[in-house]
Amino acid sequence: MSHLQFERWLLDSEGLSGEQQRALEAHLEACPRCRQMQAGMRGVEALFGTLDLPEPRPGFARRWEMRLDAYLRAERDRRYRRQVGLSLFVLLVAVVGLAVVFTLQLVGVTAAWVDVLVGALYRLFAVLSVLGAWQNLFSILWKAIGHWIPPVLWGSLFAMAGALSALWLGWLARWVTLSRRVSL
Amino acid sequence: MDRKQDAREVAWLQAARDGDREAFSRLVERYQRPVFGLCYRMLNDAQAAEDAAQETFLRAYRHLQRYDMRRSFATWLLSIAAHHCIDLLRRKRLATVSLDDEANAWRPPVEPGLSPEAQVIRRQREEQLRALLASLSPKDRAVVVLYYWYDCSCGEIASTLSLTESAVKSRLFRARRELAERWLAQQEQELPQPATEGVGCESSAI
Repeated sequence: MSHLQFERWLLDSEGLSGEQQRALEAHLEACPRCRQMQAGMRGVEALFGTLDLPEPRPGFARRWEMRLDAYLRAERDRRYRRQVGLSLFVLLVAVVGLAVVFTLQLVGVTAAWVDVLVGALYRLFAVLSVLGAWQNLFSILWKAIGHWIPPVLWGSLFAMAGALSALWLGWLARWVTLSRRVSL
Repeated sequence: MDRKQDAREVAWLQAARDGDREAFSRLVERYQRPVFGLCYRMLNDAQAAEDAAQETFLRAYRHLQRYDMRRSFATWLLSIAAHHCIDLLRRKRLATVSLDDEANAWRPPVEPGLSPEAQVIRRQREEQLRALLASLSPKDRAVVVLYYWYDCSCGEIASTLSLTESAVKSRLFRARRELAERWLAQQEQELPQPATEGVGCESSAI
């Protein structure tokens, strides 16, 4: 049988059978190390047996009640702080909610502006379409007149327009020159 | 420690669960010694043990609604105390407090009837025990304390410390070997002996 088995029997918390006890005693007679271990274990258990559990200082229960009071007070404060925190959170949520509602209302106003803009654009397109219609009308008239007026008359009309333009440009240049002289 | 609950204790427990602080104070008075004793043996310091014991009762008070009335209240309390002390030892490493702290720490008074010589011997034994228990891991220490001072069976220790019964037996075996070796070393330091011849054990000694 291995030495470890005897060591286990020596230190085990369970009781030994008669045969195991005899085998152990025989082993102890031959093994000084196990005898030492047995002596050590007996010494430890004897030491444990001489020392009872110590008593707490007098007034333990009273000190515990004071500690409980302090704990309950701290718990009440913590609950109060939690309630205040919760209230502040609710207030914050309300403020954020109001801000969201206000923003949505502002977006509603903005939506009206968009409507105005869309309306204006619609009117602009309507005006442009009217102008387009007038352009078509004038282009038809122009074509009709073009076929009705002879080319000589067209030439005379363009010459007259050119002469008038030259006169106007000359008068404009003269007016600018006179203005410079007056300012000097 | 008596782990059986009498009718009076059950009534206190019921009243305490209904919010009666006075009833819980009676439970504190009844169990202050075993709870403080466990904390003291675990932490090796009376002030730390006082704090731990107070904290144990406070935790018990806070979680009283979770307590299963079919279980022993004493075992439940000891379980809270042991776990709290194990946590403290792991976190703060109270087992390795400085020598100054040890010297200044408050210790429970010895019995007033003891003679000065007996008081000195008791102090020495306390120191010896303190050194022995300090050599164990927090959980092994709890196993040893519950086994030797509270007469708990391995099953009860397993239930108290949330271990399996085989784990408790294994821890107890390891702790006892460690304690025996430490005790022998202490004896050798106190009484130096000449080297022994032939110490050792052959695997086939018998």
